[in-house]
Amino acid sequence: MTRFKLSRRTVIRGAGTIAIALPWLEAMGGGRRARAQTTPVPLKRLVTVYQPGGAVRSGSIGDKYTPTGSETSFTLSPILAPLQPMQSRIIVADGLNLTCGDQSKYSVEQHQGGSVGLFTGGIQQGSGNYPPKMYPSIDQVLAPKLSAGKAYGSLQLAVRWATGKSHGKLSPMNALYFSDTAPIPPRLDPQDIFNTLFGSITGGTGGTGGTDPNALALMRKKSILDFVDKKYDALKTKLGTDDRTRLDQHLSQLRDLENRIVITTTPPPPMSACKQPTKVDTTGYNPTSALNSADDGSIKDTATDMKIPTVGQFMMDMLVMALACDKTGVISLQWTDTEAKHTFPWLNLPEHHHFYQHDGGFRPTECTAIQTWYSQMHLALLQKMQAIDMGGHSLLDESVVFFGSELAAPDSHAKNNMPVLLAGGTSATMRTGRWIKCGGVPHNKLLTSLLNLFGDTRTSFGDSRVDSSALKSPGLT
Amino acid sequence: MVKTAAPSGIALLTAFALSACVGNIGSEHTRATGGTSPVGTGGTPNTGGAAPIGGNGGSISGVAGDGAAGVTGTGGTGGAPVVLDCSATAPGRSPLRRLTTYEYNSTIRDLLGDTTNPGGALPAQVDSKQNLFGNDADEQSPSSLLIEKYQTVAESVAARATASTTALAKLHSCASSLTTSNEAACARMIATSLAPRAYRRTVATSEIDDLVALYTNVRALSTTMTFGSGVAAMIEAMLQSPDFLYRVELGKAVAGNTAVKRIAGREMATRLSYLFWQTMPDATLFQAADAGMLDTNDGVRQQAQKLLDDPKSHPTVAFFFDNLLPIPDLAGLTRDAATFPKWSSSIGSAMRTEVQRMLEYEIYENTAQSAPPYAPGSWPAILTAPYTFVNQSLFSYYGSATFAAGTSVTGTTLTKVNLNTSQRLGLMTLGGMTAGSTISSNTNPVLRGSFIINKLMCRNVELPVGFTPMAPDPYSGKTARERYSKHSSAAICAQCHQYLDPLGFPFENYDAVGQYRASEKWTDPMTNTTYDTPIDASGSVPGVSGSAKNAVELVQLLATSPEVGSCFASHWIRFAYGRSLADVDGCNQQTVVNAFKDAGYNVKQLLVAITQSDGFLYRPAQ
Repeated sequence: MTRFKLSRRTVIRGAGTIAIALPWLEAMGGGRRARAQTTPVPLKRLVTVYQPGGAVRSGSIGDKYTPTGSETSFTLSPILAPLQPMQSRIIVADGLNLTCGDQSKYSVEQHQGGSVGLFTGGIQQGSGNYPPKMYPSIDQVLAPKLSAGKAYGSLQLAVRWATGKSHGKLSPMNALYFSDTAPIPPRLDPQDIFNTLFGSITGGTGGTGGTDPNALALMRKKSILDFVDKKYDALKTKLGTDDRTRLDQHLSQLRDLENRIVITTTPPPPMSACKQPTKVDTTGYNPTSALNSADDGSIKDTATDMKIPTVGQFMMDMLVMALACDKTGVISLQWTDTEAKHTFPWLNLPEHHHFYQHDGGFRPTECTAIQTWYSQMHLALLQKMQAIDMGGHSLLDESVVFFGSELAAPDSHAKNNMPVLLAGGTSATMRTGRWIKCGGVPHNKLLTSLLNLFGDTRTSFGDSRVDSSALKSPGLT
Repeated sequence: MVKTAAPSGIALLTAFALSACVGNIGSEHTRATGGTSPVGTGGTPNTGGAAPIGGNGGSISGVAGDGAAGVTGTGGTGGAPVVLDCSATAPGRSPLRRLTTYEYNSTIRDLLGDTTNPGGALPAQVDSKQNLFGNDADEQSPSSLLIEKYQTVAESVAARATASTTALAKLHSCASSLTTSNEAACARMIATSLAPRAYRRTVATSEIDDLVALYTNVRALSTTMTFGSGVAAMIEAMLQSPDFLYRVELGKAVAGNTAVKRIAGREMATRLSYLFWQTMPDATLFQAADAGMLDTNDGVRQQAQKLLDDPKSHPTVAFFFDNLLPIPDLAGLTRDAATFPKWSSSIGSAMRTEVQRMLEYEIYENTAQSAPPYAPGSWPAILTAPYTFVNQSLFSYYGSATFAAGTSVTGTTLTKVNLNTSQRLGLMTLGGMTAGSTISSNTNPVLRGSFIINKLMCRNVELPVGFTPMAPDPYSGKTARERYSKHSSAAICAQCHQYLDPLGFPFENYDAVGQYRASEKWTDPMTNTTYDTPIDASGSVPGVSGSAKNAVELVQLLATSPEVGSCFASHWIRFAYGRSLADVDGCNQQTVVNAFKDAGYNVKQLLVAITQSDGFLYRPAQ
């Protein structure tokens, strides 16, 4: 039986590029949704996920990544096959070039240009450097809006981070997220993250709360921070412009912290979806193992590496619950870094990822195994998000998840045709279940389009030398 | 890293910018980050910096190439050195500096006796080419996570400092005889004693009042808030204050000059102690500051000498070299066990201590002229030192041929031994340096040359745009020189490699584990024939005439290069100033390098000379 389907485009044609939340008409659905929705689900959250090394597209075993078929009827390749249960919720985007990180066009390092440019659309200036003027990343651009009134403007989580030459330090080899002024260090210790985010989930009752120890601790913190705030204000008046600006940067972060205390003291009514995640034993995992790394990855920390799957699942659970508990609207997960110098004992791969990329000669089979495993992790994340009911719709429905890498492929380190996945939304906000061919355009256009999805109306993003006008058809909607 | 070329390599080469390799004499040094690329990693285009005074014709702030054919940069060799008019006081920038994690740890240790290194919980510091020593003030933009962690770390430090009556008594003896009526007074005594040390300056009564008010407010929150908790609140507040975390400098007025301020008193004490000891001033230094002894150039000089002579300066000098030289990871280097059965983690570790001990000895202890014509304790003497330090296990690792005839070493203590100077001479030929400058089981002369040209000569050699570096073809030669010959045969490569490779080839006599070899064994993978080819270790130093037939001769050429002396000085200046250098620092540079040269390039005198520069004695007015 054929169903008459209204194309969403039919309805909004003439409305330009502004995304309009439309009432869901059952006739618009492809029959895939289990429940009819009567109210639109606005996009409220951005999740970004990074994995290193690109995707295997050539070499002795051929292309293991690119789907086959057509835009709306496609078969996932071996690397993406684990995502099949969620195929209707993803967009596989082809033909996006990481132009801003292209070492054949700009004076960028072949990995660092990708890490520095992936979420910023900005151009690194020489290996080992940041751009002279920082480009903010899309998550930081959206944070003030998406996390307004929430305890955290944004959260960055990383697993087995800053390996190899970066020696545990924040550098262009592993920095993906940027404020207006600086790269943002991620949180590394899963136990510390748990204690910080979920340590006192009941929150305080606030006011003159007498005996509640949480409330007392919060009031004590507030007194101290009030004192400290005044010290910064007082000192600023004695300094010249330059130094005052530096102190202002510190003070603005301090005020975020003070704000968090206030929000935690008198929190909004808890979301019904909010539950304390199970605390996972991560003994053996050293979050700062990379402080003791060798440039070539030859110092192996097998005990830590063995725990990566466990820690990854724990991080994803905390990520999802941080959103469900409305602690933030912007969150990211970074799987290692561009050096990727850790091993994969659970995949029986004794060498580190970079070795299989090219240090030991390109090993497509091993790279495929690694990338396929990452797809399994991505599936787990999406399923966790789909399972959270935010009040008539799932967390995934109200989120956009953007999966990216700093390279197109591990052997060539090229930047054309990057592996990009998007997930989430509803068909009113982002049309998933598609394999779109963007035609070989700079990925800055994707960044602009992503911002547009959230109601940000800008028409460009990132370095002005790169075309960043929003994606034309086939786009995200 | 090296990798195979993409099939479209030729197309990429045609896009190569011919002016990419402008051997910048006088440009800011770059940090060759390990194996990021076979070519020295490029730096930010900058406005001058380390200029060789009386050197190779570079201008102080200009970009001068070596005048080699085909390089389209502004060329020029052998021009007259530029001498600046440095009569005006020109300190350059003095950006507000925050304590680094290292400094935070040592300051908390010295302030409160807390030896747990709590700074480990702070988020990763920003690392970049500009931030070689981790203390560049322009790379210290605070993140939200950092401020959050300052709070949690302060809480744990304060909790430890107030955990018991014994702990509290260390803050002030009044805490061992507390009563409800004298608690508040005791809190005041603790604040009065702690705040001036925490803030590294004198503190107004109103500031003490504010701290005591905080104590009172916190105690009033609940009857469960103890004296200790109230005092802890004061400590937490101090440790998060800008007066503690930042090195605030307001300076003193200078007669007839409103553009600059003099750094004096406790602000100078702070500059001196963080430069030489990477921690807060001790009581003696505070007293000297308060007595006005740091208000004159000579006074500063005398204190600098004193701090340098104190054992507390040794870790700072070691810290400097740990960040400049490829030695921190020696214990972790993995080498192919079949090819290098004698290599082990403990040998790597021992090699690191060998390098550190040799440097410490030459800089601090040596009074004899071990490396004529160079003065003891000088950088060129270090580069050409005919001795090293080994213990028994290193001695047997290297083998007796490494050392002067008749040398014998037993035991675990590092002992000074003379080298066989036909094989090795100076810092660069020590096992730790030659192993550390190799990132795999195969030597890479380009990486080693890149280290010298970037870090020891401060010449900025950039990775070319549009060019994917190609690994040497394994079939093309029995020695590294043959395999890398394309660098000189292809004009496009030669532009940069004509400087880099001749610096690295002489070190081919040292393999990936720092052992000496006169020939290189190589197996042709096609025929499985093994060749053993004598190594041609000839090379040269850009800007220095003459050629070397091996590393022993090369380091002697290197030691004569004024660029090398000037570059070493500029690293220390950057470490001391906590920022990169700009055009306006020409006089700072000139003052320091001239003094360094006059002192025969003595390292300790260099550090003292830095304290006599405008950039150290003054700051721009706020």
